[in-house]
Amino acid sequence: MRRGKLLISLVLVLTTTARLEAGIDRIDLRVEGMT
Amino acid sequence: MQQHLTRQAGVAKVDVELIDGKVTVYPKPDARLDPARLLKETFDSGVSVAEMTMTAGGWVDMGPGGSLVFKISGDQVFPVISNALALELQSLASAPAKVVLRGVLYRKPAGKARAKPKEVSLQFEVLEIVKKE
Repeated sequence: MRRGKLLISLVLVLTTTARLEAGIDRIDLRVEGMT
Repeated sequence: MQQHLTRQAGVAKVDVELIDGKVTVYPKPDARLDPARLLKETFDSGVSVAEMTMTAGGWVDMGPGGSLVFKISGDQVFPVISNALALELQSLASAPAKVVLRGVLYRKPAGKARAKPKEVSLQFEVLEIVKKE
């Protein structure tokens, strides 16, 4: 049980760290004239 | 257009919604995606871009003229257009704090049917502060 909680915490920390890394996550374009 | 953009350097995946005219470009992990080049390539594929929005992690800093800039890497620096969210970010410019921001990089000029890519200068209008340290 304790190991499971530790694993979840570790995943949360890693996810947060990854999101704060510098770099482009995505680019959204709204385009006209697309067929 | 999807194939054309997928072939560009640093692009991992391109999602296209034909009905809404929405195109989402995802970069490869650890690759450098150049929004200006992407914009030009989209124009070159034969469609007109009405708006380009970017979600990215980086730092806010003061530029040479004392205006706010959004730094993604050493050579990817975008001037930040002044608005309420930009003012909120100004306090972070003194300390190197990482942020994740979503904002508009390009909007088609009003009245122009199709802007020429050469005339385009990319400025970042913050729409959302996704995360800050």
